[in-house]
Amino acid sequence: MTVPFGWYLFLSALLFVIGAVGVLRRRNAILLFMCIELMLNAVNLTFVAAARHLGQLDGQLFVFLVILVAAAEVAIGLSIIIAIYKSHRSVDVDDLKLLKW
Amino acid sequence: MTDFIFNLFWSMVLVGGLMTVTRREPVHSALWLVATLFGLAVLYLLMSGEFLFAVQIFVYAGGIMVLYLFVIFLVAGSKEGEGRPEPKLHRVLGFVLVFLFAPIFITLLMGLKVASEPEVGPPPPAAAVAAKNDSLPEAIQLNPALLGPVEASGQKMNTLVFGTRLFSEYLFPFELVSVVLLVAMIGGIALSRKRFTSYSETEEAKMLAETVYRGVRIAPPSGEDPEQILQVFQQENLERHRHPGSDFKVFPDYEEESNDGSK
Repeated sequence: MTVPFGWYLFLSALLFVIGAVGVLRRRNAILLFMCIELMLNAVNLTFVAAARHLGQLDGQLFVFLVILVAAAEVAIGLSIIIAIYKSHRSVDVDDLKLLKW
Repeated sequence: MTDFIFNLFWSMVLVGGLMTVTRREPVHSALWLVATLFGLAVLYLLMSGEFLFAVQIFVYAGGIMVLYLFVIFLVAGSKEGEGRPEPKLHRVLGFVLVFLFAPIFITLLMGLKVASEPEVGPPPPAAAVAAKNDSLPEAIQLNPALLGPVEASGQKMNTLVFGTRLFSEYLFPFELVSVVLLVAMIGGIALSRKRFTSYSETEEAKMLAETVYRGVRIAPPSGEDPEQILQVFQQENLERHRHPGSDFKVFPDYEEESNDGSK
């Protein structure tokens, strides 16, 4: 039943790097958001693991708040993507060079 | 048994994350992301975060991923553009990032043995929680009866402790997040309701009008008889057919600017 703390941190670091590399390498705006989501979840995992390790609940409370903020971010981000798609007919970040349209 | 579940979902999160980043089809990515998030939820459960487990599944699988899938289906052709080479800089940056994190990984791996010593601290002492509760303003003080079971069972009553602390210590951030969610809701509605005059559409229409005009080579029909315009058009078209050497097209490619001189 002893669940190693280090393995959680290891997974979290791996997941964070996977997300970061994804943000660099993918060009679809929707996929970029998913990769950011991965990075957020990696941080959440660290929070929960640390909360468990230290026997404190604060980490979990932080994760709760992070999840809510992530939900808000996704709602706004995806509606911006929809708006961009309406005007540019593309969500490829290479096509989106202008701030105005 | 717990070890087996841990191994299973640990690998599931890793594989899911890798698949999310590497799949070409956005829908596949989204579904792999669902798997990743579910694996994470189970890991939270293993770390006695029952409430977070539920929140993770409700909010992510139930809310966020549905939103993602909607947008993917709404945005046609969101597959990444073929043929365009990936900027080299990005690939290099990706490798740099991996190597930057390598020392962290090594440290973590070396520290695994040390960190795997079971060292779960004692649950927060009940007296401290009660004292904290007493120090709060009267209006938001919690019923002391609610605090009772916390001391008895410590970590086991995750949701109870969670709620108790969320509505006492973390009340301000909680309210702040609710405002953020309200702003997000209003912003989302405002952004998706707004009608954007499409730059590309107007441009396209202009180009189309121009090419039709150039291809047919008649004066813009201002006040002229439509019948006559049609006759001129048919006449010209016939002539082109009789003389196959000329390169008449009603919709010439945009690159071909040469058919101006042929008349």
